[in-house]
Amino acid sequence: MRTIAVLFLLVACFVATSSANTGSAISGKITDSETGEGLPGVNILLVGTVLGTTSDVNGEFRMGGLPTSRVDLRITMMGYKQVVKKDIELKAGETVRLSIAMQSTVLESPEILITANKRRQNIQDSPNSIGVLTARDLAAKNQVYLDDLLGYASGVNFVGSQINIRGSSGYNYGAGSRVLYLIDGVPVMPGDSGDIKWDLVPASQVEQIEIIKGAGSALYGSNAMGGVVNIITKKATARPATQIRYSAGFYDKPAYEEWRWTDRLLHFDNLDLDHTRMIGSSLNLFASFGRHQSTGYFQNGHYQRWNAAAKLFWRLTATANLTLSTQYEQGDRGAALLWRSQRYALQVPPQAIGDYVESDKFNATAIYKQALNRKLGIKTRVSYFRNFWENFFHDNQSHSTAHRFGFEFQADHQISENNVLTFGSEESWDHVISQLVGTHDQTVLSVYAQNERRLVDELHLTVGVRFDHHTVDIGFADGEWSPKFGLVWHTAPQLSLRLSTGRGFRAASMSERFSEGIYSGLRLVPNPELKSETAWSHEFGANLRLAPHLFADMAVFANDYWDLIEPEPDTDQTIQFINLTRARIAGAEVTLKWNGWKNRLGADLGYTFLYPRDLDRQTWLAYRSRRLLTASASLTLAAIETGIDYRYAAKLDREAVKLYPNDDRVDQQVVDLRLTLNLAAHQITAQVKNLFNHNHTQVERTLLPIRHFMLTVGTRF
Amino acid sequence: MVRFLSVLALLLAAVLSIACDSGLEPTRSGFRGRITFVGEKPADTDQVIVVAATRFPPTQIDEIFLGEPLPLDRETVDYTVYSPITDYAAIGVVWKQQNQPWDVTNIIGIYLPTSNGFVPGRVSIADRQTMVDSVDIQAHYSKVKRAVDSSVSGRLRASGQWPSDSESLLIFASTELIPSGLLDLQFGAPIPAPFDSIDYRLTIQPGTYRLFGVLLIRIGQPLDVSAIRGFYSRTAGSPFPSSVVVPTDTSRITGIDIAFDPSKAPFTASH
Repeated sequence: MRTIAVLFLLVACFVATSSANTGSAISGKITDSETGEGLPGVNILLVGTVLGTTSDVNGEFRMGGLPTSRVDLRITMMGYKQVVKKDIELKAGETVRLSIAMQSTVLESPEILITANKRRQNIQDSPNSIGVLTARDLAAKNQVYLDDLLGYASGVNFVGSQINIRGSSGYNYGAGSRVLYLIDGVPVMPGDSGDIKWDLVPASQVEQIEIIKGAGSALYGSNAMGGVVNIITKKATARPATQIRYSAGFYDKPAYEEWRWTDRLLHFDNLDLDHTRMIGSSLNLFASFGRHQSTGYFQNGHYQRWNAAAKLFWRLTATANLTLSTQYEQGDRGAALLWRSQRYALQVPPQAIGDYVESDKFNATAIYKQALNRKLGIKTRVSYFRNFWENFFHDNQSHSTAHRFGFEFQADHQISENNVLTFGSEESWDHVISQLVGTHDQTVLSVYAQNERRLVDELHLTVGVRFDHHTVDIGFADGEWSPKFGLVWHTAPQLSLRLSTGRGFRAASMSERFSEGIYSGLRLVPNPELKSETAWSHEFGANLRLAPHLFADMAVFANDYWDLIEPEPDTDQTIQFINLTRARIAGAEVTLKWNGWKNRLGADLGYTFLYPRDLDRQTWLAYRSRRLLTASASLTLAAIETGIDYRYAAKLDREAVKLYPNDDRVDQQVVDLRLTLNLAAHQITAQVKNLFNHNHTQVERTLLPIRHFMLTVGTRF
Repeated sequence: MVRFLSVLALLLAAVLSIACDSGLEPTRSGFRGRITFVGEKPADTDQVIVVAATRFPPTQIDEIFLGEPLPLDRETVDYTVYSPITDYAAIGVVWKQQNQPWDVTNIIGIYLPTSNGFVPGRVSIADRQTMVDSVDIQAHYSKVKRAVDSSVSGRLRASGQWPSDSESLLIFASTELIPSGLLDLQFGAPIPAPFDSIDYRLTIQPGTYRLFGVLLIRIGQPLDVSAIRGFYSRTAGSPFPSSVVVPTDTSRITGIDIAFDPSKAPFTASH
């Protein structure tokens, strides 16, 4: 706790020392040249500096603390022609006001800025494959939770609640994740289970999702072994705006009479509202509230969750700002680990009826940013995440509380126009009090540096390294070096090539290391000496424009794994996590994007082929689908937008599962249909999910959602 | 126009093929029969279930298929286990103690269609409509094994040639000198073969075991008296087994070493 207090003091010092700085500023409004409406989410960059921002929901933006000189401004947004404002003269203490009208166009290039590499950059300058779900995608898909949304991203597949990016994670019963979860760049994973809590931030609070594919430990350390998911939450903006969204729906009858377990209509409803406004002259506030409840489509499938979030953006000086943000979730849900049998696939075993889980989660982050000059920016972050759950099972009642404290200092130094150095240090401390794992502490201390430079005109080089020192209170300690190398070559306007290699690792979660007890009739055996698992990730990719309206991205990749931590079931009904597998996942991925008929028609396609091998046993690696396909098409006619989405994951072979190899398994095929009516600030959406009522499982003996219908009404004022 | 129509036709065909595939269906195949409980149900009974094993004895957890818990308030229970298409080498009834994990060796009944108590009945589910009838089982509550701290340990020494079809070795203990069937035996976990010498530890119920030995599991061979390869005897080389006494549920009996020849069955000639 003393460390955290010192860190808060440090932040306060930065606040105090920065208050004397002044400079010039640029503000303005960005609009659609045809409609005159403000454009949200437009990227504004001061060329050759570390400074940039995005427009708010009304198209307004402001950048303060700028140097008194002539600058160039680059304004980009997907679906619009890039605008460059040259030679803007900035004078001390003055604000330059700009009005920029952007011209809608067929896609010239997917101009998307991402922050997943710890600083704002164009997606095409990243040496890694990065998938992005933009605000537009989020609005179109209209999902409540992020795991439902991410299933539409190319190369992403869920097994239970565990996200697999190019087959990285497999399935380990929720104990540890090989994908790191960030909220606004801050790791948010509980110290006990080390998994991702998808219910903490509902989709209504999110502006953009960035998915880094491949090892990201050179910047983020543990867990970023198979990839990183960075959630960018909505901004607190100056202009007051309120948004309300209510959706309700019901589940269809099961496809087979044997699966009917109730005569009740099974239904759900969701309420989300948020508000943003300016308080005084320097504070922007965003607040959000949500309630989501469902009877569930299977026995014990009910849930009720309350979400709240707040974000306070405080412009301290022209060159410094402080962002305080918090998310909270409280809920209870029925627990259904396995179905009763495939004969009764929507029921739980009789003894498990009534099992439920209560949980709450709280996350708070303070980020202080300051541009010391036009070449050097610093960021300091302190964060706290608490995860609590309590099981009320027929054969077990247990609870766990995990606290995670985090601190990070980061600096971005624009050494020259073509050379950026990012460096920093990060510390985290986990304290867990749990009936499952006992009371334990672990700490991670890290330093990192990454240099991005343009070698020649169109050749970008990225090199980076991070060192993590990990200690556990039982005396266990280890250190991991994670280097990274990447090249991007924009060979022609229509083609850029990328090459990257990097090391990743994941320290064992406390659940994997210390879990002990009897759960669902199985005895969990601890293994305190678990080593970190490691990986090398290699990728070669190409991004090209095949035709004026058709873009493609292709990648071949190979990820080598050592000491994979896997749950090993035994004949005497015990399960222990052990360092087991030497594995390799090789594969290829193709994504296509097409827009036509003046942007009224759109189509996306993503195909991933995986070759996941357990090299020790010469078998398929467990819980990895070898073929993934996502496809979507949309048509916009005046105020009406219609779309169809399709997801496919090949079925798991007998040898690619750990339990019940004789169970029936099928491909996963889901088709969703949507129709949206946009009436100025109001929106009505009708959706059918799992249109063809395809019945499938991912985790053994858990049937995924059957066909259901949803109507959403939303308004903004 | 032709290209547009071709693409449209292709898309339509794809959508139709998705629409026609409904995925998983309820299992309609399986086996059923009657369980007859013998003896008094122990007070610490948590669940009793029917278990099917694709291999007997099972060596991996994925070789086991668990049925649903049986009602415990009757002496006879008609049951149905819905199971996918599989060949089962054995069907049994397993007892679970309260507050203890599942132990699939805690067998209190085995499907025995013949009079040979060592040969479990095979059940073959050939297609999605097959429902095998009359898989009747007697379940003896007297055979339950409670969680104990008592154990027997020692060293196994093999001398001689292992048969090429050897899979594993199973330590067993029997209160009867001549066991009449599998239910008379307590088993340990299978030990992969071949090996020269290995230490073992068998968790075991208190009692006097008149026969304590090892069985060789061979591919496709029944697990009967002919599979016995050796037994414990205080006098080296003696043809007579010695008893092993486990007085209480915390006793740790050590030094129970067994020397055996994997290629020879000591009881075959006299059986």
